[in-house]
Amino acid sequence: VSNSLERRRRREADNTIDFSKEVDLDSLFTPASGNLKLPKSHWKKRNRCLLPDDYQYDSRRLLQLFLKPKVSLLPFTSFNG
Amino acid sequence: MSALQIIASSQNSVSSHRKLCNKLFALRLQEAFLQDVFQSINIILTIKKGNSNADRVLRFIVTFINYLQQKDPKTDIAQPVLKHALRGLDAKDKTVRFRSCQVVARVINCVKEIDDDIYSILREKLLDRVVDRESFVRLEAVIALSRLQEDTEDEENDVRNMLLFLLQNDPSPDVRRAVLLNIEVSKVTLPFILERARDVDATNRKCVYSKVLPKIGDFRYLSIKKRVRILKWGMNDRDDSVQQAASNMLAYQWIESADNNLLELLERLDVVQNSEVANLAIKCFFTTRLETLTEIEFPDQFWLELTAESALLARSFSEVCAEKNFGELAEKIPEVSQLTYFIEKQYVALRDRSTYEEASFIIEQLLLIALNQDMADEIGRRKLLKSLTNSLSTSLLSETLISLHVELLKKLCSTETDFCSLLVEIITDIFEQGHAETAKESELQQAPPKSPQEKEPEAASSPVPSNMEEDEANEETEEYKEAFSELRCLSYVQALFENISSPLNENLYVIDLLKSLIIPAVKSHDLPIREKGLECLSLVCLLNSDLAYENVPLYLHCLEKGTDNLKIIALRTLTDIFLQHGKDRFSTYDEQFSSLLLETLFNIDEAELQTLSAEAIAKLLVIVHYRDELFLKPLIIQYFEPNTVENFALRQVLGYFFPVYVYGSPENQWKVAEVFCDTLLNLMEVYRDIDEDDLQLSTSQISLQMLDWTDNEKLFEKKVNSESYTLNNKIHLHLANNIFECLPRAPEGKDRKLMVSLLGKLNIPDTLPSDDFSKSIRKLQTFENHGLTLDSTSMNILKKFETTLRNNEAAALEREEQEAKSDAEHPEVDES
Repeated sequence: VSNSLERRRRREADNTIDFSKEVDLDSLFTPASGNLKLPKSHWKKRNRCLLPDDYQYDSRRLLQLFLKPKVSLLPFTSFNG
Repeated sequence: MSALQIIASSQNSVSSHRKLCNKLFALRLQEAFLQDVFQSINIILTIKKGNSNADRVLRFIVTFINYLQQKDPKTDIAQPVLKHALRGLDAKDKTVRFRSCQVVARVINCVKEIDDDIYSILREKLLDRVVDRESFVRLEAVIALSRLQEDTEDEENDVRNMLLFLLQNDPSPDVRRAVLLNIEVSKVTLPFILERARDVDATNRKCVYSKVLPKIGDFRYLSIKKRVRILKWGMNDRDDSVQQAASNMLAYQWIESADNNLLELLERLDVVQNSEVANLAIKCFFTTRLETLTEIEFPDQFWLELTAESALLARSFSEVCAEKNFGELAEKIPEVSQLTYFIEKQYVALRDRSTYEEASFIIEQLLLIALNQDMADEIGRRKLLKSLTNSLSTSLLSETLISLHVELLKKLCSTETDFCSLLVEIITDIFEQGHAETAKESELQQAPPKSPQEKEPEAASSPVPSNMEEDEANEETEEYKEAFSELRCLSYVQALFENISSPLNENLYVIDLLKSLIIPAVKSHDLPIREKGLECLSLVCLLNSDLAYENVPLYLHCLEKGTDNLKIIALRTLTDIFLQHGKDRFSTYDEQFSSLLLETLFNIDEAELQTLSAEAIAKLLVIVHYRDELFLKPLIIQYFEPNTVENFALRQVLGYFFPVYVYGSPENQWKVAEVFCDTLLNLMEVYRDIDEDDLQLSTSQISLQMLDWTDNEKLFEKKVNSESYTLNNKIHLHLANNIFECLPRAPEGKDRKLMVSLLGKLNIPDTLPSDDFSKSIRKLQTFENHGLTLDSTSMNILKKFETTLRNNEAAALEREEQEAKSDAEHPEVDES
């Protein structure tokens, strides 16, 4: 318990803002010289950040017959017809 | 205290803010007041993100601005503050840009009317900031920009269009979420908003259901199609928290818009067209609010006045009770005896075209309920049996209903033999009915009308003098009726065979059916009949391996030359035959079947067949180990091939297959290691020719996924009984050897580098015998003798790997020496 209290106190101390310090307005508001924009390649183009349609497939379907879904076949069993 | 000092002291705790507002208020007329406020903001602008003190100060400033506007509107500072913050929007320092956006976002609401010139600058700069390279800047900018949305549904609305662009395209899910939460809901924006229910980020998806849709309020603003879709997505979401949010929205918000009435809610969902989603919705509702299960009642009137909605409600209720084993609650549903009575009432409505669809649907729900009941009540069981038999023979039922009737009959019959003979009787009846009708009709056309005592067929054409056109029309109608009757019989046959599991050897009924119905159908000129016939034949083949063997060539022919539908039937049938009867029986056909499978697998023009082929091969591999050495590599390649990127179904199927295949069996895992290098080289070649911008996967990601498949720690069963080591513990050493061997084939540069980098990711236990390490070292030396050029990173990896091998070899040798010594000193008792 003492550890997290300690951590919190340290964090609070680190967060303390000194309002008496000088701020150089010029450097504060100097506009950038270069490009600040996200490069084109980063914009996701193809799928609009969407998931594809979910076909609700699962391992159970993998182990079923196509024509008789109610029959489930266990793998690694030898079948003798 | 100066204004600056007061603001400074707001950073520690929010509870002090009220008092500090008062204090600051007192200084508002001082000369340096605004300066001090600006100064405090300037300092905040330099504070990095994540500092909660800075956020607190900002919060205080906004609180104060509001306070000031209330108490002394003439000294309002909102606009000056806004104007000041504007200056930092395109600063070089990202923190300044971030904080400036933050200030603007919070203060902009306080400004009653923004001056025109400030407004346009603000808009322009924010439109720049929402495409900033830093995502946290974009996020605040979005919040700020969203305050400038206008109500207009104008196409030219730049702000709205930009927000919509970000909603679909911003790579950061947090930014997309910020848009989602702040964009105005309108006819234009609604589709974009709803689309986010399939956002790749689960938190965003959840947001749609927990925050945005409730904000929209009444779900009736959405079209039925949209309602159904949004429910379907939410309730089927693979993420539990999203599912829960969707269920909560349904169970607490949407139900309110339906006057707290489940039936009314269902009425808004078009249950007949969307029965699966409607069923799922009711089940989710009940599961979310379990108390409603105990509250709901089904009085007699309910059953006598069934509608599509109420029938579905009852069915969903009974399904929930069955799934959760709520035996007592399930007693609210009438017993089989009574249920039968209610079902019978619906059959009458089937005869009327205007009520046919709804009555069919209601019967379907009632039969589904019956399927869930136990059949302890003997009288009820017999009643239902009789009723279903009667209905199958006399009513015109849809395919769904036929299937359900037969399935239920199976459950009601005591043995499969009884079931068989009952069905055959019904089918014979239908068959004769169909032939009797058409026979009677052709009679009528040739002969003069019979005496009135003769029973007229229901749909008889009245006898008319011979007229070419009418004869032709009658012939067509007759042909149509024959075909219809034949199809109907075949549907019954199909349903029969879907419900039989015992082999057919002794079943004489079936031989009869085969000859009189199925074989003729398979030879029919009529495509739908041929397809149905083949489907029936497929089921018969599953029950008898001799018949299967006889008919494999037929299905192979369909797979090669048939229409798409026939190919699908053929592919499914052939696969099931191999799975059911074992592959050895059909080895004569291996070559042909395999080459057709591969051909279909690689045909990107037929996506559905391609997926089916992948699924078929997957099943064959997992269940009967069918020619792994032939199929494994093509399957892996198709999974990663850029040209299957659009085939989501294929990738999902294989996405399930591979883990089951590799982790379910050490032998399978080993096989993947065997084809690893070859396959990877092949894929690297394919990817080399593709423009990087278009790629969704990199060869690096592919190689890591494949490597993951060979991780023996992930085997479902890691150890074998008494063995102390993990199965496949040599797999990565084996893989390393393969890598050394194939490196010369890897083109210089990126590809070779990638292969070498894999060495650094292998997991090789140091407990292996020294011989294995020695062998690997030799292979490595053989490779080094090739004198291939490698970049420095690769050289280092190789060197490091060699060192590890040598160290392990030495340690293993020492260990083996020790063991040999202790064996000599303490010889073990010979247990032979």
